[in-house]
Amino acid sequence: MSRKSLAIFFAIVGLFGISGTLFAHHSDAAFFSRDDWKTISGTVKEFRWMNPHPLLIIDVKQDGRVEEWRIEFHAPSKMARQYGWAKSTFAPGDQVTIYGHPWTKGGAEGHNVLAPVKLTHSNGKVDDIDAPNNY
Amino acid sequence: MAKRVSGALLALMIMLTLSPALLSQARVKQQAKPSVPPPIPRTADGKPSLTGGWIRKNNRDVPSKMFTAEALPMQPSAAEKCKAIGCGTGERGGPPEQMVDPVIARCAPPGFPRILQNAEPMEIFQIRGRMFMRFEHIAGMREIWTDGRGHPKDVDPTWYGHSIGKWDGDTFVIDTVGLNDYTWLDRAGHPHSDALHVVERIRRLDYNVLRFDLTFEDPKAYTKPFSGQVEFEFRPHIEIREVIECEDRMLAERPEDAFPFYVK
Repeated sequence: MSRKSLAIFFAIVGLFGISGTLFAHHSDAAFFSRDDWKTISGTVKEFRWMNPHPLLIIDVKQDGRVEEWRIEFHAPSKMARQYGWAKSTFAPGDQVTIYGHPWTKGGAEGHNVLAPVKLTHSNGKVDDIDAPNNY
Repeated sequence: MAKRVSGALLALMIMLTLSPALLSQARVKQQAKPSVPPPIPRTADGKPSLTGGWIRKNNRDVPSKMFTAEALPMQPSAAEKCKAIGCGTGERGGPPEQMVDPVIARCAPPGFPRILQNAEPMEIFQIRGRMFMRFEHIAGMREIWTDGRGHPKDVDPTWYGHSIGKWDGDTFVIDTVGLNDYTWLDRAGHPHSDALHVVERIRRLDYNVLRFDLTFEDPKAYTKPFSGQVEFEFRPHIEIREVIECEDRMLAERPEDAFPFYVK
C-alpha cells in the first residue's frame, strides 16, 4: 500500500469515527424526513403539559397488539396562544388522530415518536399545527 | 293620514339623499383597511414609542441563527472553540449536535445578545429612567438605564450585561458591556469573551417593524468589530407566557434521558 492510499484509508476511517460520535446522540435535523408521513389513531394514555415541549402519549392498536406512540409539540406558550390548548386539553381515554412525520432517523431510541402537523381531537376539532422545526 | 304619508315621504327622501354618502364612506373604509399602517405611535417627549409586543421577523438576507450572512472575523482561539462544536455547520444553521448547546444541555439562559434571536415573543416597556425587554423564553429580562448614567467602572459580568440607552434622533441606542462568556453570541454557536461590547441602534421603521442594527466588538475573541441585524414585527395584543428550559427533566426519572423524548 502506497503512502498516499494509506493516507486516504485513514482519512476515511477517521470520517467514520467522527460521524459515529455525531450521531450517537441526537443530531440536528436528523430526527425525521419531511418526505415521511404517517397517520396514527389511538387512545390518550398521558398528556404532559410541560416545558419546553408538551408530550402526548397514546396507545395505538395495530394488528391485535398495542403500540405506544409519543407526540411532541411546540412550547406550551405557543400551543396555548395559537390553538387554545391547556393542561386539560387531553384526558386519558380520549380518541385522537394525528398526522405527521415519524422519527425514523435516530433520536427515538426504541420509542415510536411522531412530529405532528395535524391533530383531530375526540370532539372532532382539527388543529393544523405549524410545521415541526426539528425541535 | 296625509300628514303620515308626507312624513314617510320626507323620511324616504332624506334616506335617498344620504345613502350615496353612506355608501361611499363604507367603500372608503373597505379600501383603506389593508394597505395603510397606522402612524408610528410617539411618547410624550415626541420620540417613537417602542412599547408593546414584538416577535422575530424572518429576514431572507440573514441566516436565522446568525446576525449576519458574513463569516465572523474570529481570533484563532475563538475559531478553535467554534470548530470544536461545529458552530454553524448543522443542517439548520446551529452545530450538528444539539447537546453542545448550553441552553438545551445545561438549562442555561441564552443571555444577551443571543436572546434577540429567539422565535418566542418579547415585550418592551418604557418607564421614566429605564426601558425593559421582557422575553417569553426563560422569562428573561433586560434592563436598560435611560437616566443618563454610564457603565459602572468595574462591572461584574452577567448573562444580560449592563445596558445604557439614549435617543439619537428617532433611533434608540443601547450600549451593553459586562457580559459573561458562558453564553453563545448567536444560535449558530459562535463564542464570545467577557470583553464583548454590543451597540444596538433600534429604529421603528414603520408601525409594524422594529429594526436592530448591531455592532459587536470583542478584541479577545474577534480580530475586528463586525455588524449584524435583527428585525421584529409588532404584535400589540400578544400575551407573553412562559417558556422554561428543562422542566421536562423534573418529570423524568433519569434527567439525562429526558431529551428528546422524555423517558418516564
